[in-house]
Amino acid sequence: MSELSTEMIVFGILTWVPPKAVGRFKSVCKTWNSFLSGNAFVREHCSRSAIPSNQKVLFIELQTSSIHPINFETHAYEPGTSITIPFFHLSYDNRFNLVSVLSHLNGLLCVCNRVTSDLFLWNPVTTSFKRLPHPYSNDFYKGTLDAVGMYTDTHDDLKVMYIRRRDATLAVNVYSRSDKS
Amino acid sequence: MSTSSSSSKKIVLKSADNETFEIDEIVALESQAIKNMIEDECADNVIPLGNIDSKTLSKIIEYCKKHAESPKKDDNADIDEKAVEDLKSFDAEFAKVDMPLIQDILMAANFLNIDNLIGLMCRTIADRIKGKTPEEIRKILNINKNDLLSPEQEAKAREENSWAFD
Repeated sequence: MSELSTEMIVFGILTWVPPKAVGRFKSVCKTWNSFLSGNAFVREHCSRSAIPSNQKVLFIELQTSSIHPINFETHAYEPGTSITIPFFHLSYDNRFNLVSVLSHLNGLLCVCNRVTSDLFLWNPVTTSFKRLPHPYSNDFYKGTLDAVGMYTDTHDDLKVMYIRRRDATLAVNVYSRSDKS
Repeated sequence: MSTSSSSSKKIVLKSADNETFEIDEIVALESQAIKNMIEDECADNVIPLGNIDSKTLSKIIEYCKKHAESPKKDDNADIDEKAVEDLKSFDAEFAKVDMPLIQDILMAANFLNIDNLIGLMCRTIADRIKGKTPEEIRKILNINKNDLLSPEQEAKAREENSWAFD
């Protein structure tokens, strides 16, 4: 019989491999490189992570952080891999993690450094991160007053909505990944 | 296991290498493509499958028989857990064949439109290739040499995804 079609390989098979393999497989050939970077593949691949066996949990403890798979038969956390937080996140004495997860979507996290109040988008699997621009020069995120949520719009653009409350007024800021604003 | 009564309708499939397989209609109905043919009444005597060899076809029939015999999930709300487990372990055993045959089964299942089998084969292949290097992948899946990235493009792809290589 002839060869497997590209569509079958990319959407049938490759949507089932873990994220790390997707990263490596972008080097296989031109066709794979462009498909694996495309929105259609990413969407399909993300939908697979809703399957129980793919669920993982991130622990950010005072001094360590790690990712653990969940075993749904025994309801236990399995041994995990420790991860390094790639941006500034420590207390002044460099001993404690000061990261709070504010929101998450498809494995991407929006986190906050509790001291500097900087907001970051962070993908713990690829270790990539981006510091979000501040809409206000010297008034940053406050956990007790503000709220952050993430969503994708109808054009598959990732949006972070930052709702800010000061002096009885609400301000809504939306960060869009595509125009980086 | 008992075979179904002789009164049930039979379907004959013919492989590319001219081997014929007589199976119960209920088994053949696992294939959406054959089901459509039967419903359209264009499956009179023998269904020729000119692109599937006998080795692949007999594996596919083995799969369809087992799945046709198993109680379907939507048949009743009372899913028999033992039957589900049994089917799961059958699928796991079934997938223990070499890569060329898995690929042949996948292509044939795609042609015959057997959804569960397509899924099983895709997940099996994904599971086997997930730990491989790009070089190994090119060999296993016979990637066209003309489609390779240039050395610069490949270096860039590796650099951008260095997190995936440790």
